Amino acid sequence: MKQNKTKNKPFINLSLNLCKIEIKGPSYSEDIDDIYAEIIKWMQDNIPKMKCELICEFHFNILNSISHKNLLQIFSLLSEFSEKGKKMKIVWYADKNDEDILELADDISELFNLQFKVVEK
Amino acid sequence: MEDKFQKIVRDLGEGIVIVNFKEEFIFANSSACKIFDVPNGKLINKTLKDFVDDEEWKKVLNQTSKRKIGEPGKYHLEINTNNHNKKMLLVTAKPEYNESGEVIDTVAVFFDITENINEHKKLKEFNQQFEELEGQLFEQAIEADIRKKEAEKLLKHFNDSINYAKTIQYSLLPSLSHLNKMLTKDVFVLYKPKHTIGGDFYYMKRRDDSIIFAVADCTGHGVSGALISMLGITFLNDIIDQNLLFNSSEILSKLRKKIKHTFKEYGNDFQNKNGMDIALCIISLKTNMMQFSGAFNPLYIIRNNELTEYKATKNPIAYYPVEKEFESHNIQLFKNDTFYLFSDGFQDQLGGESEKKYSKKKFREFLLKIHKEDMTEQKKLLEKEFVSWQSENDQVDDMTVMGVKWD
Repeated sequence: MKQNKTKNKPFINLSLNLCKIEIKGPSYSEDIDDIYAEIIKWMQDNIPKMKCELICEFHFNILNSISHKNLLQIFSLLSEFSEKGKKMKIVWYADKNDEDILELADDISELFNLQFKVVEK
Repeated sequence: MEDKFQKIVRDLGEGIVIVNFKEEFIFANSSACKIFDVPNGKLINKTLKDFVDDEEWKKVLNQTSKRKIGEPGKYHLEINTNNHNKKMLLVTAKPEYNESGEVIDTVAVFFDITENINEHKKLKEFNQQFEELEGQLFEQAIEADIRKKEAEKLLKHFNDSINYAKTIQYSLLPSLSHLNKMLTKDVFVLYKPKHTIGGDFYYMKRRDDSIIFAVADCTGHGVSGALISMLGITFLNDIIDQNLLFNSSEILSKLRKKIKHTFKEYGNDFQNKNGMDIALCIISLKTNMMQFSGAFNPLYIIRNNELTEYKATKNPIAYYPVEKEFESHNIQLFKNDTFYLFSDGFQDQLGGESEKKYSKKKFREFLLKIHKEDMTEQKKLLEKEFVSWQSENDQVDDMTVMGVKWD
């Protein structure tokens, strides 16, 4: 699944062969809930089939509350797979001094038993 | 003279023939031979019957019978030439008389108008097609007009409905005069939904000597946000009316319970993202004590030129994977304290030179800059700042800022 960035939708790149999940950019379009539903469905279907270590990269700036809640579901799913033994590396990018996105990383790490790296760009 | 005349006749572009009553050619000029695809001079003694089909032959006989009684005629005649070309001729025929006044034969002058006829046919076909097309276009235009009218009707219906929804939503939001009267303080509310109606709401209620007020941001915006905001306002009213003793965190946890319960009836937990973020305060007018609790949304107080953020609990009024108790902060208010409740619409607005989020930091700095102005002025300044930051960009989300000056 691949989608280009627009003014209110993130760049999305989900690859089974590369074992990669990339979601980067703004996330507040009217249909964002449907887009996350597709991402979550893809994760449920494809992560079990992956042969290599899963690499997840996130870089948000604007997340509306629906995106926020979907993101928690994504992390909940990741932590489920991690507990089942799936190896993964998660990088959380944030714009420099973006308090919300940095705080959100803290919130997520508090909520889920997942190791991830935070990188300010 | 006679010779000269014959030469002219021979070389004219029009065919000239003389035909006897047996329909035999007794004279034909060179143009006539050319039109009939016959070598010059070879039309003589041939009969017209050799060049026409049965239908046209009847026409010829009919015409000849008119000549016999002295009538001239003008008619179209289709011929098959010596080279089997179909040609259309425009014939003008006159009877020829002998000296005693008897009709002896026919003199006919004719033009080959095959090309004209073809042109005419083409033109006629073209005209027909054009008329058909015109008809179709006309029908399509009528249909488009009907559709446009239908769309306009739908749009009008939709707008009427949304505008009425707006009337309902605004009637549930306290008016500024109401706010001022309840608080007996200077207040402003900057309320700017992304669409006609929105998911942000603000709330204020007086219970004896206490004022309860809140700014909330429901999931979604537009109609979906507005629907949840109705629930939020209704539930807050219920909770506050039914409980004599309360504190801010208690109100939030009761609100969360109601929202979760309402949506849980019809789905699983994670599908229920519906809910809201909220900042809620209770102030005792007797003691000037303020209690604050927030679900994701904080409270800012400016005192002595310093802004203090009272952090919210990192939990929404909705289902959340790890549920926490809402905390409450108790704050003694002093004269000239200014405090602000808000949704994240202002700080999240994209704009500026590099189309970035306005940011929390900038928002705090701006509030610090303007907090000494009177509240009407502060509202104007915030609005101006928002519009100038937004520039040509769409509004990202519903936006609400409520400010109170404790004087």
